[in-house]
Amino acid sequence: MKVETLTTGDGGPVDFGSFVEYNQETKEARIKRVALTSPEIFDMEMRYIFEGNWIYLCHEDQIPDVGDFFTTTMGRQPVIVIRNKAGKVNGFLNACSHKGTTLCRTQQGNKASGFACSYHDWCFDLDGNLEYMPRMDEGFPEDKNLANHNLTKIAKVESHGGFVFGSLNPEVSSLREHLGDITEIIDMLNDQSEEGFEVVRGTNTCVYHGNWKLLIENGGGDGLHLPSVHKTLIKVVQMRDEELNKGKTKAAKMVRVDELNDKDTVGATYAMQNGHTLIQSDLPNPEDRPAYSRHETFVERHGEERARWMSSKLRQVAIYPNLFVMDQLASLIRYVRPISADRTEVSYWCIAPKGEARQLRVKRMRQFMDFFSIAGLGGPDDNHEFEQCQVGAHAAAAPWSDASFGLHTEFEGSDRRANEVGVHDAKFGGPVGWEGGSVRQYQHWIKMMQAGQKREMAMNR
Amino acid sequence: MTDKTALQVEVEQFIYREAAMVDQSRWQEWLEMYTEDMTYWAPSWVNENELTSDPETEVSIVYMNNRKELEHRIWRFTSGESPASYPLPRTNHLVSNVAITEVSGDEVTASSNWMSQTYRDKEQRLFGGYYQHILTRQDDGAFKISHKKVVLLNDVVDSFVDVYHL
Repeated sequence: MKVETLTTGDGGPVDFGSFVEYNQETKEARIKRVALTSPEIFDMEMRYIFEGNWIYLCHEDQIPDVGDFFTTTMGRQPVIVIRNKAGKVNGFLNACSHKGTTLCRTQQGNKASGFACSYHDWCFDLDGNLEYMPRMDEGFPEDKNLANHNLTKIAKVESHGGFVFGSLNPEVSSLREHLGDITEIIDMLNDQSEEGFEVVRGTNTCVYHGNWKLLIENGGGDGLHLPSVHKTLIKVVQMRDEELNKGKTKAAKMVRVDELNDKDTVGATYAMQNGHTLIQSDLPNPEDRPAYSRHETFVERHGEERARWMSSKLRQVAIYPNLFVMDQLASLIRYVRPISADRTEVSYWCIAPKGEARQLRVKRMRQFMDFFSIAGLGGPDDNHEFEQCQVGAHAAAAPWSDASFGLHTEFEGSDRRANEVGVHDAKFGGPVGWEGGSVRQYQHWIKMMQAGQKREMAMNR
Repeated sequence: MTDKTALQVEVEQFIYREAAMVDQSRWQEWLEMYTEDMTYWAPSWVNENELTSDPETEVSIVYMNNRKELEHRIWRFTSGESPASYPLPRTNHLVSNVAITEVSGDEVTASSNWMSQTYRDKEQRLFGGYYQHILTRQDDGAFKISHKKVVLLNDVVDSFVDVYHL
């Protein structure tokens, strides 16, 4: 298959600026689909975005105790996130300094006594310092500097509200600056509980056969697909409600997705700094979500408007490039791990207030599994659409995706409702369904790809 | 044939029939093999070797505690309007190692091993794991499934799974 040539001449730069066209006069935008299919671009994304800037790693509740670790990847590089003796979260490449053997081989676990490589027994403390190797004094001169053989640290590891992020590139802003006012949305979630949030036991992970950006833009702003892709979910919600009214089922009442985002709903999508997006929208039946039982407490502590966001609104943030914090039909972390241009791993972690009353927890779990399990009534349909987008993206004779919906209604900055809860740094916004969210995501992508390419070319010069 | 052997054969035949109902898309007959207050539970993996143990308060792949939910699910995946399930894959379930683990009043508990081979979009997928069935003898003498637990060996799957894969 002929793939569009990405480079200009011999290894010359890719013209990333040409990937998005936004006509301000006609309010039309389009995005080049080759960004989804090109392995060459995928390689650059890994270097410039996933291995070159802040990405989400794990939740602190997944590593609560000293020595607890969580393994994942940053771009293509295997990493360990671990809590050290002082309780601080550190990160290392999951590769022994000797021969690159992985040190942690399970998803989670505990290494309170340090890392011992099973290949040659090189041992490291929780800060990555080489402490011991067999026959150390025979193998090297006395003045051997063992510090050269410490584990390679992840340059930056910081967290906000339990969400741990890292950057392999030391030259990035603080995490606080990177997140901007998205932190308000994370705080609204955590403020639902005095005891903090936990990640509920049990994983749901799948690999869809499509590019990672398809999910990021779907969850980042696409409020249009609900009535079409999820029409069977909507019907099941209605059928279940009928049965609940007849007392014929014990399932939890779901959010009335059929009434979501109709003309009277107050909601908006915002394109935030650094490629992040936020969707907020009134829930038709907030009383059926677990957090609503504490609404009055939220009002007392945080005022009417913030309490409304905490208990009665759907809040969904896409923290570029790989994390969704979602409190909507369910409450969850959706973690995105690109594998190749056409493979993306997605993990869904249900999150819940620690010490939640059993009846609320039961409802929370059912609402989570209804949509977000790998056998849920919602997620599988999304994944299938991403896979079909990936197939269609190879139709190179039709190289553009349209992203114009609602652009004529977009506004600059945060609106009144966002300002009222401290979200001031939105760059643009529009109604739910407004595709400016994905356009701005791609504009941020262009910026990162251009910066990364420039940096690399300067190094190679 | 001893009573014990007869029961073994009856349980095996029942479980094989359940697999056949799925593989032959006889959804209504499959549904009717369950009691109205049935539970169907496919737990999630917590780590490399441990499954979740409480479907009410922990994450599962599937948890239904009423036949209505299975009925809704069947409606959904046969409606032709769920993109993930259109077209439905061809499926082929193999069940073996059927062992009766408990007999108590009207209830028989049986464990078994399963594999399913599915085919769609020029792609073959293979799943496998264990079943636990609790079969409850009805007034007419026939068994119905009052509880089914499905363990899927994978904790990562391609794209998605539904009950017809399991």
